[in-house]
Amino acid sequence: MIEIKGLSKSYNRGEIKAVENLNLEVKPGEIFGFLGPNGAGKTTTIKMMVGLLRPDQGSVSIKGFDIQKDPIEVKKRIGFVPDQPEVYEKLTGLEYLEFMADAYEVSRERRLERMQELLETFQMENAVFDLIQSYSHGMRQKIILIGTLLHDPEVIIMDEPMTGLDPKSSHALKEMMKEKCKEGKVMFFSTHVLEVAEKFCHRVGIINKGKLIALGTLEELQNQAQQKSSLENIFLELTKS
Amino acid sequence: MRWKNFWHLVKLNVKITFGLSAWLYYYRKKDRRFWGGLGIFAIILVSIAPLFYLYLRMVQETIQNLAGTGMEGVVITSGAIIASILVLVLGIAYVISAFYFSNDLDFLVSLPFKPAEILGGKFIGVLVSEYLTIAPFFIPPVVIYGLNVSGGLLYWIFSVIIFLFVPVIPMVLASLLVMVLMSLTNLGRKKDLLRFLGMILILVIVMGGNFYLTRLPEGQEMEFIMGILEDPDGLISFTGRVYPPSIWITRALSGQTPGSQLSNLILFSGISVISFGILMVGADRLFFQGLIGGREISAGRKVRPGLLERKTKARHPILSISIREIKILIRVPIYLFNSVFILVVAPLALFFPLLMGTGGMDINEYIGIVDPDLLILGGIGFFGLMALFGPALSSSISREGKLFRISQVIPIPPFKQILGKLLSGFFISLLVIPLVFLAAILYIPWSLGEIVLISFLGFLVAFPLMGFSLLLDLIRPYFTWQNPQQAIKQNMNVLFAMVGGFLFLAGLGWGALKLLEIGLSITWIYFLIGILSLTTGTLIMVALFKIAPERYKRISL
Repeated sequence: MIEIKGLSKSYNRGEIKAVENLNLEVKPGEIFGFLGPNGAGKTTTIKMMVGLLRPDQGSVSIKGFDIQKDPIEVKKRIGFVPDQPEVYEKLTGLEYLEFMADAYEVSRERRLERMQELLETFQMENAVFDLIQSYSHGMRQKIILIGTLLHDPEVIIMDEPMTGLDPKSSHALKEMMKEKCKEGKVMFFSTHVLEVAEKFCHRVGIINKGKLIALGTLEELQNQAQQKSSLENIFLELTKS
Repeated sequence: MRWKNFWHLVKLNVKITFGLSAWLYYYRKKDRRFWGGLGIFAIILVSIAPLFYLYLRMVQETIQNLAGTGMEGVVITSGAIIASILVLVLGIAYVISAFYFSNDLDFLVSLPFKPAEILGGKFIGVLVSEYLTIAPFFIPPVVIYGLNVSGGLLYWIFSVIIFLFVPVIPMVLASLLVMVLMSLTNLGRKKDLLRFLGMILILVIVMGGNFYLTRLPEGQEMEFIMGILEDPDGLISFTGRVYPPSIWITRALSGQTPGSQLSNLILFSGISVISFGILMVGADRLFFQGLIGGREISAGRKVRPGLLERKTKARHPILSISIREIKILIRVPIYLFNSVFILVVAPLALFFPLLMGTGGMDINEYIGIVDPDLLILGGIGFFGLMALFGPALSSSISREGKLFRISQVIPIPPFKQILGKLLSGFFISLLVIPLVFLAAILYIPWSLGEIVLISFLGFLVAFPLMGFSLLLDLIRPYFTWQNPQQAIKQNMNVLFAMVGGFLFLAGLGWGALKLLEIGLSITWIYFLIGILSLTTGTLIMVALFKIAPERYKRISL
């Protein structure tokens, strides 16, 4: 479903290698956690996956479509939640959702059904009529999440999606992710919350200084590490250099 | 006020306003953006050079014509007035944006700074940029006058001091008006609308006051003008009535004795410093009243059942993009002011002297002697001019700022997004039609058919101008703005779109007049204007559609 081959990106004329020869495959029905310290290359990778950044080398294809060659086909199939909940402040939540639904060409009946369901899940039924500028950080995150999920994407790519969410919304999101993966959809998300990755992801990848240094299920990572321990310890051990 | 804090904030604001840190970084890293920036600066200088040359000649000729009358100093008065009014009028939007809508305010307010220190820092940041605005208007009269009267060292020293103080008083006035406005309107859900109306009210008061002060006494115009001309100081005093500090400036530079020059310099600079002091005292009381809570709007109220069903509606993506553009444009007071309200202000400013009847000629008499065909051509040109004045399209990509990433990830092909933006520009241009109707009702006896013709050809003429504006902003968008005013005013695309569009319009107008002169029928001229505009517009659209997908892919924020 997601296929990343030899992906590289550098800045300052090659001085800083943000991502180096990344190879990765995520299969249908999989929840994939992408971990790494600050500045490791997680957001750069995600930006290249969704077409916000052009790779120097390599390719990203989603459901067989290459993001550089068929960007619109890829974008129709994915939903993207960025690391910062920045959104049109001068639109109401509903106007934003309507805009997103128009962008993904969701029919009126379908969007109404999805909006009702998602607004209730994330407790935004009343706030959706207010200007986004009045929203808290978490509410903005929620309206972006709802906008991303409206068209029921086959692949959901999220950069730190839990940041700012209250426990109830965070729980709702995790439940929804499990449900979607049962439907054969793919979740790819970066996180610093190792506990979430540990309990929740089928596989994780750890990136450090632009290179993928570990990849596999928790069990496989434990086998790779010097001592069997928690994901946190494995993470610290692998990224200490 | 703690001066150390004030100074830190001044340095920070000047760096942010002019992007100095980014420039130094680009220079050190040998980034091509450094040289690109310098290139843009050079292009601006070259593009305004012809207009600037005309202005220099006008100042020189005025001084020569007034030679020996003792009134030559009026060029300094005029320069000071133009500069000060520019600062006051433009300053209102600058100040409101810098003081209340900057991205860094939440962060600054949380630091242990006093309101006056934060506001003072922002004030100086805007002040420095105002020097660039007033320099082309104020420096030439001062320099040309100085060269003509062979001013000594003292003249040049005084000139520099005065230049530094020129924008202070009008900016303090703008700041005080804005602070009062923002404090009074910091309530309720409609505060943005209230603020927009307040900005209009301030402008109307400034422009109305200006007109009131410079009007001639009815029935005694000639006697009044003679009286002014007989007194060597009369012209300066009359011109300076609009803005009395301009008289002090003039006397400080062209006074009869060094004593009078020095006393006027002290008066002007002293009042400037005192006015800044008043602003700082006012800031401590008023600034946070308008700022804190300014972004909050009551949320979480209960809504009626069924509201979601009623409000949900599927639209074509192109229309959806247009609606997004227009909604954001009219909900940000600064954008509304610069892009939409300007369509009302610009015609008034353009035709104000005509409407008020100058040179003893009534506007109706004037219209009576103009060829009706020329009036229609003028009407068409008016549409084009309005398309130039509104920066809605020349800042359309830039205004998206960091949120451009949304446009990059949604599955609406870039060419459709461009069409949506153009459509929004077209909707805004529709506002010009009522103005044409108004002109027809009040002054020009246009028939309905002629109004339709003017509107139709007007839109065709505006089409390439709108496309060109959008093309420029797509090629070189400006995303790193700190407040909405900068997205428009520090966006060079707005200026280039105006200059380029003006050249196109001037060429079209010149061609139409030449064809009229050689006796070509007016119907053919209309046809040619339409065809030329449509062809140019179509070519620009082809270019836009060709480069848009690549630009949407390449831009990284």
